[in-house]
Amino acid sequence: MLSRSPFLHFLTLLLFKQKSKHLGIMSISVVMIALVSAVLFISSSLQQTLQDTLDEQADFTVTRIEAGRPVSTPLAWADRIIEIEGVSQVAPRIHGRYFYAPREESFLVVGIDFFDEQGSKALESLVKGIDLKQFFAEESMIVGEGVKAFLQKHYYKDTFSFKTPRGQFKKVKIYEVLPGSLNLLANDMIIMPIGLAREIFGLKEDEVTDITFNVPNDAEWDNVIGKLHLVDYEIRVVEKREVEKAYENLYNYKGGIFLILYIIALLTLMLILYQRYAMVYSHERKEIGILRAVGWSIRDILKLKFYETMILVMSSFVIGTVAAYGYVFVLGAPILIEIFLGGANLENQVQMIPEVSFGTLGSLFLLYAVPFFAAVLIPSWRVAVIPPKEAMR
Amino acid sequence: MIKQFIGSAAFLMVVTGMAVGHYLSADKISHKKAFSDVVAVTGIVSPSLSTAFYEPAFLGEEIEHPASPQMQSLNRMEFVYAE
Amino acid sequence: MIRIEDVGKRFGEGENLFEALKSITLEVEEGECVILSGISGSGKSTLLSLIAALDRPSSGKIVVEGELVSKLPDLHASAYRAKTIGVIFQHFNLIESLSVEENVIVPLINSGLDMPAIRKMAEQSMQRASILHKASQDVASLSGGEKQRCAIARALVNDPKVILCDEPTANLDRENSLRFIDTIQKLNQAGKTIVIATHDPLFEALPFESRVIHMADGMIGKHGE
Repeated sequence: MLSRSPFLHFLTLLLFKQKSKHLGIMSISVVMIALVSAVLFISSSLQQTLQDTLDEQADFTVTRIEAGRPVSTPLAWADRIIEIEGVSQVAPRIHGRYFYAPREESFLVVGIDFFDEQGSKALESLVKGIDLKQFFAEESMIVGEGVKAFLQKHYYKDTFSFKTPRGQFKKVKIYEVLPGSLNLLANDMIIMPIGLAREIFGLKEDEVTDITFNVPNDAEWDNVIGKLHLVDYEIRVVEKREVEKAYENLYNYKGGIFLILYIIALLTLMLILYQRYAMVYSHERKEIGILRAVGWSIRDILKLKFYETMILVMSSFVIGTVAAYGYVFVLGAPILIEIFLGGANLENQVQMIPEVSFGTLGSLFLLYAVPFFAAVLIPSWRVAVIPPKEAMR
Repeated sequence: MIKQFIGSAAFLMVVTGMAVGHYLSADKISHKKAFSDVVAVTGIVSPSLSTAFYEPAFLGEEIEHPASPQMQSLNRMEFVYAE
Repeated sequence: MIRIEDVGKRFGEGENLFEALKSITLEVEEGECVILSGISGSGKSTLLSLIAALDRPSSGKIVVEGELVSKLPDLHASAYRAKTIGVIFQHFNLIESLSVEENVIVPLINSGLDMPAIRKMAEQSMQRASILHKASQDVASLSGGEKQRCAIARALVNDPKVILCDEPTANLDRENSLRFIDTIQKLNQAGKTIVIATHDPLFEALPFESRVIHMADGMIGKHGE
């Protein structure tokens, strides 16, 4: 049926026979759409994943600040915090960055407690077939993929020797590697028994890195903050919402460098469209004049140009977004991801969870399609309304 | 030309279909569960950013990384223009 | 068939005002062949484009087949151009990126016919214009004479009653010009009304019945047989 339609026949004829006219603008559009959608895909995927994990985060984290610098937090604060009304799930944590001086790179070492029932269960589900007793009894660690790759590169196959602040070496066995799907969170992470972590960081028995806790009633938050400052003069309180805001800003595509990228992309698009506008007005003027002279009405011309533009817009948008999707969610966005995660420390090959913000994608489509249609239809109309004789001249 | 056009349109549809299929078949639930497990084990929610190690060296130096005060602040340009 | 009453055409304004046609009155009978002759700038091409509704007169009226074409709104003017007339231009005005057949079908795209019917009509038209053997060749690679025949095929494809030719032999050699005259004769014999604007002396003495109208300075000079 379609093959009998003269209009479709002529439309495809013009598209394929004059492809050199369309290929340039289409390929530039595809590259731009792919670039902008790739950034959108990465940011929405990271934002979604981080939002999911942030939901699990404790409402408050407190540390001790001495002369403006964070120092070890006394474990005794935990007992005083638990006494505050409305506070629950108080958990002292030991974690910190271990600096590997020869390569100037660092790992995030986290100490975990065998007696933390919930944590142990989660660890069993995370590392299939883990023997918790053996793990906690031996001096061993579970490492992220980035750490494993780094250690292997530097000939640490099964063990790694940490240097403690007392100048001793602590040989720790690599028990297991965390799955690569967790790289966004755990690429540079080393999980080890809490005692071992304390030794590596040189913390005393009554010291921890920080203390986390929840305050289920939001209305109590400000009240609790007030009481926390009475616990100690050197207390520093980090709220969950502060952390949320920090990461939201970090990955918000509206922010900083991406805004510049968008502006550049938009300017390029406008420039291309202006060129298209000029091209329709000058080069296609005669063609429109001929069509008008042989009996095409203004409506017929605009219909032809509309469908021609629609095919170009739709196909370049689909190719651009699908290419961006493949680049981000199948290939893992090589190169571009470094803008988001940095590239100064361990190499991170993140596997991103497919997450598409259809609203933003729709806005991108409108931002691209509307000016494109205008850049073709307006000059076409301007040419079509003048007498055909003049247009053909 | 119509055949070529229909061929190209079909190709685009197949490619789009593959992307949609990939999107719909992605196992988001188990992925999310694995992330929750990491948070439950470690209590750490900060993403594994590949930023340079940074220790506050001077008195009064501002620490602007709320999640991990020992790391450099997020508003430093090395973060964007990494090696 | 064609009735032109007191038609004038002016371009520009004020000091730049130029009167291309001054009060032209003319009648062409059905099946007649009229030659508008005159030097360049005499107004013959302008008159032709007004009959073809490619432009509008500044004053007066033009009636073709009982239809007041000088006042037609766009949709009707387009339909008139698509059904009633076929135009052959001096510079052929073909779409260079398309083949001969593709150029010939252009006037029928919006005719409501389906593709097989359009192809059949195009084939007949190309046969009449002796260009069928080049149907699939791109227009850009054709010689002047072949382009001319392609333009004739396009003008004939909708089987129009009136054929308008604007300087049809200006870009042709003598052999091709004679061939064109031969084609025109056949069309005239088939009952088509033909109006040719030309300054080629070949048209002064055609081998078939025709009326030569001399134009000069936007006015009709003298009528002759």
